[in-house]
Amino acid sequence: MTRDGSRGTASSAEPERLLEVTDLQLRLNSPRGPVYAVDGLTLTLDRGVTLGLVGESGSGKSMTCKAIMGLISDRRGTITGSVRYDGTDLTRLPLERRKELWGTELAMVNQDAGTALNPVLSVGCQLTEGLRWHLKLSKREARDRAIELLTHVGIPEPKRRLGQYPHELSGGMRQRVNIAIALSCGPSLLLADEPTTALDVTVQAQILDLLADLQDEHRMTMILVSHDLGVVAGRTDFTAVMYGGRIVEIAPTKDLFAAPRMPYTRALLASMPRLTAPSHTRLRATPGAPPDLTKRVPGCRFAPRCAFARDRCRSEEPPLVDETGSGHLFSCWYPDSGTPEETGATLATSGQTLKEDA
Amino acid sequence: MAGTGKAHLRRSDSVVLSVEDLVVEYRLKGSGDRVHAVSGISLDVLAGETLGLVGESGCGKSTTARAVLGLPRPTSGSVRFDDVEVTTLSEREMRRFRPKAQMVFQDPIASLNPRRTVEDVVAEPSRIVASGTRAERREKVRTVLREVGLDPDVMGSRRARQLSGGQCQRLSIARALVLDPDVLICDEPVSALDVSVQAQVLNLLGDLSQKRRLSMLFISHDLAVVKNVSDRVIVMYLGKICETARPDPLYARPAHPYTAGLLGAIPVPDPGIDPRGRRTVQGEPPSPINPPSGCRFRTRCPFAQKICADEEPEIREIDDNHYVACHFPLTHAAAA
Amino acid sequence: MSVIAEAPDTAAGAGRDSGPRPSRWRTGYRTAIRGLGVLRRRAGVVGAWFWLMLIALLAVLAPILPLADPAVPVGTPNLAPGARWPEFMGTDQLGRSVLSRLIDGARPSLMVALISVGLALVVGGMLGLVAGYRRRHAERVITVFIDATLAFPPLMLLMALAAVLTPSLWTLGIALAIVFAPSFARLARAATLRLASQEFVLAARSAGASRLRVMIRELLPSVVVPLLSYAFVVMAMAVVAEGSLSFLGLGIPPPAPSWGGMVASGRDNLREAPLLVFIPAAVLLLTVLSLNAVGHHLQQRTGNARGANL
Repeated sequence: MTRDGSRGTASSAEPERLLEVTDLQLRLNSPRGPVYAVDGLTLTLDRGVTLGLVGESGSGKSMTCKAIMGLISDRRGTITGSVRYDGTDLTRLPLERRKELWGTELAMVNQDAGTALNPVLSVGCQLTEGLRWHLKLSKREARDRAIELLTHVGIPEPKRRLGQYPHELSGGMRQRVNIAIALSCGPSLLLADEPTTALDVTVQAQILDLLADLQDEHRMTMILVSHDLGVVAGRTDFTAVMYGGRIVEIAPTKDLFAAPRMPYTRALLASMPRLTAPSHTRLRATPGAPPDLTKRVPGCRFAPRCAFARDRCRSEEPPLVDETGSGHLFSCWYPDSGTPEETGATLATSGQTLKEDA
Repeated sequence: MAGTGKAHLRRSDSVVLSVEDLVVEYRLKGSGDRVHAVSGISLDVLAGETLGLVGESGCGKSTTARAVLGLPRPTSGSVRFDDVEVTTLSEREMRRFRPKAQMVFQDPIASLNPRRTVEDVVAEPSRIVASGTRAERREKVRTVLREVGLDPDVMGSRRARQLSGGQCQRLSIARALVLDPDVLICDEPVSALDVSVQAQVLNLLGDLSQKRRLSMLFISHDLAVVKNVSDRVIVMYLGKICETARPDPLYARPAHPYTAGLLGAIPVPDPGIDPRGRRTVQGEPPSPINPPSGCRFRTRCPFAQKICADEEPEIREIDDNHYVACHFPLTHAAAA
Repeated sequence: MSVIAEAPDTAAGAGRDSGPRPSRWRTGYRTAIRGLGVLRRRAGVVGAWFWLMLIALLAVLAPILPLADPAVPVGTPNLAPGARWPEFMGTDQLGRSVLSRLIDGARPSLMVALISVGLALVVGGMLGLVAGYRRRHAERVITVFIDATLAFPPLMLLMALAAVLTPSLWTLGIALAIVFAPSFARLARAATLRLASQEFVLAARSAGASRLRVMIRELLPSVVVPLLSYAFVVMAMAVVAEGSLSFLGLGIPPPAPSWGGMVASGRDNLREAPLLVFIPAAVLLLTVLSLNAVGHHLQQRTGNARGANL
């Protein structure tokens, strides 16, 4: 989501709209009946912007990426709504046309770096495939470009790596190769689906830095999916919180963390153990478990777990609206419910954070 | 880093579990390469204390936990529960000893037998030990299930696959507690859970350790989680101890460059902090098949000197109850 | 179920405008074909179960059914089917009732299958379980044994055994069990290996369970499931093997009827009375097909269940 002018980064006066998702619904087929993995998601993104998409498992964040890419086969599920990329509705493009866009316009980096690579093909082979296919480079050119790309993503001895196979690389290196492949044909939109979840924290920091650098350099638009609010906080312009297949709150990242309005966002922030909080601080746990997406119940999806839910929350679904006109959208009938210190506390502690080791 | 030495061990009567010079090595199938998973770890846990063991994957924290239980037995070193050396016990004696230390695992699904009901899962350990009558055991199972927040009347006859991740972990905790152990070893118990559920389980563990005066060895890669539950934290790197202290001073004033880098790499949910401006660790950990000489962290350490390659630093006290194994520990005036 | 879930989707898709219609239509068509396949498979499995029950029931009840003695002629030889009641399947070249002989012949066929598969399942399963869990020496010894048995041509083994031992239900059953046991052992070992690395095994060990207890209480219940479904497929092989051996004269000695023996003795006047070969062959074929269908179905189901749990 994006609103003109609210972006911190300098850009042309008229931000170009790159992605416009309207009322996206993804219904997956499962033995237990249809699963509403994404349920009425609306989102707009300008060029060069980074959106953080956070939520717990099953909130639909990965499926949103797959649906935007058009990676859901008819057999697995149905997509309704529209995904306008640069003016064209991707959901109506035939598969052949969509395939042409994969890599050149939209690219994806997955969580599992290991399985995203083909184990029996060398790194060089997988890296040059897209270059030769999409950019019609010669074998020689593709190889030179591949070496360049590997150097770019911080892989030492790129020439030797071309001949290696995925299992010879560490998890961090594999993810770097994946990023190199994703970026090889210069996409405008990068969907990074939990790119660092399988990695150790020290490597995670390196990969996130790399993604940020590459994005700046290529003026790419990026959707960074994560279950970790911490990953999203320092590295995105906007943050969207998903719950039960919907976006429940979306705002410029600073606003969202400074003043979360939706009780779920607050609950999420409050339940995180903090480095800055003293040891044995009691966490504010949210009772219950995320909703079952095979059932559609009326009302707010978070109501069964929400401490402030009232009758209206259980019968009527709150729309995602911008109440103040500040670009901070949330869906809640009774925002800011609860004691002020509940939100205040998390912010106060995070404000003084980490100055000492910065 | 290279925690040789035992300076950090406490001479206290209330030591429940004490591990000295624990070494676990094994050969890889195929190549026959020797993996140095744990290379001389010493630690102790007091009654009612929670000791956090933190480090990145491959640092040997899970291997340490399993070696403490003798599953499999360590290559060398000593493990004592209440001053009884268990590494030399026979298989049969060891079995009688096992109920003293129980374990909670990371994977909520794989740690439960898919063919058992909830009540069966919890009843099995007491059947193995064969304590009490059938009715007593059943009552005990129901009490423990209630203690971890599972209603035996509702959940008792369900199977593991019908439970959510959080419920599975509660069940694992119940199974571990049914034998009334002195020590609970938790191996990444919340890593597979979502934050909102993770908080429930962490609070539960905190309550239980307090109520039962349970000693815990809590293993995690997540420094924030470890800080939350622990009374003392040990930071491990490549099979060795880097640093150990009480959590608050450790996190506020890390003395080992690795601890500092690890803390700097953790994403914080505060957009006001630029993640690029923080100290972190570059590169990737070396292979445990051929660990670096001297201090094992030296290959990634920004302050490494010649002595770090030649000589393994010994663990020493640099502050009250704050021990570090480093030739050049960070002093906090310099780090600020 | 996938059919039901998908049909409305394709209908909804077809209602939309623009290009991709032919491909959508093709998907719908493919869905429909797949749906037919599912239905046919279901019907097949139901039919297979029905057939197996019928054969088993008749075989068990054979002594008390009001049938003619299978060893004694009841009428003129080579009587065509339908000419006489209750011997509606006619008589063989010696005038014995084909129906009685078929039903009575089911007994050795099924008994040999049950004995051989039962023994192979128990012995092979145990060996596989031990090899998968204990590793080291036990594993080495057992794998060598498995590989050696698999390397020996089964027909030669069977013929050698038949030459040494007097053919009977039990000798045949044991001989076939030796042939089948290695496959069960391999399957059990693979299943055990997969389970043994799971944390619930470690949990049981840390509660003080002995290795034997772990094998029996934690591993066995899950290992048995794939073995049982595989047993049906092997049972089909056993029925075929028994038939082939009897056909070769290495099976149950005459005059006791068996399906293979009936085919063998009918072969001599195949031209005049083809049904004497055709009827037992058809019964054999149906039984083997049914066993295979049931076995595959069970394998699929348990395979899916495993995928869901673990």
